[in-house]
Amino acid sequence: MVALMAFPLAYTAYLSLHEWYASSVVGPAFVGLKNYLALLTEDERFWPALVRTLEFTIGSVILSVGFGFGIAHLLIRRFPGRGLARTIFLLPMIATPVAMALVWMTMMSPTIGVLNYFLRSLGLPASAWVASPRTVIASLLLVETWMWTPMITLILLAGLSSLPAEPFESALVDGASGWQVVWHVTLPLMRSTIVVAALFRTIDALKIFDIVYVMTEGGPGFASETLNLYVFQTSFKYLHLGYASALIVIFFSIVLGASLLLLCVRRSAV
Amino acid sequence: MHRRLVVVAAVLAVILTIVSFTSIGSTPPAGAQGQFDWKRYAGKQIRFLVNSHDWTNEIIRPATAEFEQLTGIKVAWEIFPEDQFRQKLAVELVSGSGSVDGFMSLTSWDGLRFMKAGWYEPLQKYLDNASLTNPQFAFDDFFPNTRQIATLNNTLIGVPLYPEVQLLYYRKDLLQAKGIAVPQTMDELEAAAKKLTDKANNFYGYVTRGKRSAAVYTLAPYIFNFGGQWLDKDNQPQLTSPAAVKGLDLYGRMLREYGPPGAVNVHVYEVYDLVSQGRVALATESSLGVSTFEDPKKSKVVGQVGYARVPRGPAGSHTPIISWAISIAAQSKNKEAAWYFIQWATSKEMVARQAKLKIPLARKSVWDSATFQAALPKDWLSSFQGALADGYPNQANPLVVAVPETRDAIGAAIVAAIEGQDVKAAAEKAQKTVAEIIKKTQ
Repeated sequence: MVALMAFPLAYTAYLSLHEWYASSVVGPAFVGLKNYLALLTEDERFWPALVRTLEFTIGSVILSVGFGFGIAHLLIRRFPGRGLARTIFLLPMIATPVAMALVWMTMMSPTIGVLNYFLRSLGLPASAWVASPRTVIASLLLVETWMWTPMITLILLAGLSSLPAEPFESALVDGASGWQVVWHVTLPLMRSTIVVAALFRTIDALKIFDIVYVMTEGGPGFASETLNLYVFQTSFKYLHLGYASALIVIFFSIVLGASLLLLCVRRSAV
Repeated sequence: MHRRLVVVAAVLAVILTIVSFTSIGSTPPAGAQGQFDWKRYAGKQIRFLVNSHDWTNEIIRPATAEFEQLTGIKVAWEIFPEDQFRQKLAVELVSGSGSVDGFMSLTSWDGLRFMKAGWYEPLQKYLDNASLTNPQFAFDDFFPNTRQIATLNNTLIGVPLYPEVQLLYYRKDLLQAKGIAVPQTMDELEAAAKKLTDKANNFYGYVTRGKRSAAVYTLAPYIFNFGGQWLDKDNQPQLTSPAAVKGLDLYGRMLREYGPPGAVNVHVYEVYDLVSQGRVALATESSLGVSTFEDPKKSKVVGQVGYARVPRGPAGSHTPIISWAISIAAQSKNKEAAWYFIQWATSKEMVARQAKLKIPLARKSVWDSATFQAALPKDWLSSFQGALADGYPNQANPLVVAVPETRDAIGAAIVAAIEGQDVKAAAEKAQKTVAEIIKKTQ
């Protein structure tokens, strides 16, 4: 098991110290830390991709956890048709991301898309959605949030339904308002569940690939190129495996670092 | 006595040769010519990795059984969509296991990389060997510029399959209604696009590709027609030449002012869609668009689309000519059998089947055939011929080893131009990046 997990990592780290194209006749040539230096100091795509990835991740986690908490809070109540409502809310999660990305792409088409049709019929100006460097990240965030809020909802629903009833009863007896209950009772009790949900979401969002690849391929220009997409381009399109390995090592450290950070937060939360 | 016998034998031999040659003149069934020994490699097994296309799917795949019957060679014909195809091929060829006997490649894209990796088997020696090549194969029958497509660093590395140039597509009815002549020059193109654009009604004068890497191909004629080139003699990029900057500037303006919203996400499929849905009046695109525009199932404008040369600039009208080619893998252990398959798949008889499916083809004799001439619109045929004669083989992008990253770098400049940013600065940035890529990979 350990070998199975360690070998690819070790090999990637080894390759990252070499200059190597997959299609070259000569094998990898050792270049030391040259790939890392080039990435950190010369590469015009690396830093923007890193910043974009972090922006995207933070936005995605805040939005999906925020909406997820709100929706879970609504769905925990008893009301007629609750089962149906729950099922409908969970649908985006079950669908294949690639297929959903294609559907969103069609809806967001600036010429024939249904979203612009709605905007126009509401008297609003049409948007270029993913076809403009200014709106592409927000548009992708919209799709990402739509797709992953259900998962957060599901985790938080499970958390909510396992909460003890007593604190809520005593809060009500003490005359707390609805918001006060949420703020002073639900949130503190839910803290560790929320951190777990946010942790999952963070790791997933950092690694975002499918919807960006399908909808923009990192474009227009490089305006939506995230780290994972840049890794893909460098390794599978450019076949520049040495350089791509250095990218992967950096990328892996970031994901690992983010996970450890959140795990610490969780420890302190429990 | 002996001398007499020799004379008789010689005369007989001559007669026999004449008879056998004249019998070739009549039209035998596909590949069933008498003289050439098709059975020589019977029992061999060969494997081809190929890109998904009407040619691979509709013409060759159903016919492989005919080849197996003719030669006794077993063929595995493995088809993959383009992206997966490249990855699969690279992985197999890098491993060097010799399990691939032949493959397809888009020489403008893969050519120099494959060449550098030593994956192509040079073909000339097979063509020159009368025992390996059927005299009927007639490589001279291929248009000279298409043979150039399959020639890299002066080495013939494959046989060209279905060539492609760029054309101007225009709506005959709309131009006529507005009294606009078919644009012959870049200036006329811009003037026409301006007159035909009606943004309030969601109708646009002109479209071509705007998507990063894809747009490099359609930018090419804008650079060539102003007298520019991708690379100079020393393989250095020429992206900051006055011609390149002028072409890039016009390209960006055409899409920004007269193109559909979101032009920076437009790939070839979107161009085809916009034309066939009747949302644009003019487009420059690959010559392959004709099959979409003339198909009543896909197009609302059947019969309304006219075909012309890409409008000329001060330096004329030049578009890239590109084509997939089929090659023998240098690491194959069955090279002769693979060559048998290639010459069969690109023989006159098989290319004639392309004509029936309206797939453009590289053989002059079949191009001139009544079937092909009747299959496609007259103005398409003549425009294609003109573009083929004046076109630049393999110049869809700078012909370098590292095409994908080079195209991404130039594509970023195109997007900047469409977005209305400083064109000169964008060109300088691309120039610098491409020069570095060439330095690192060539």
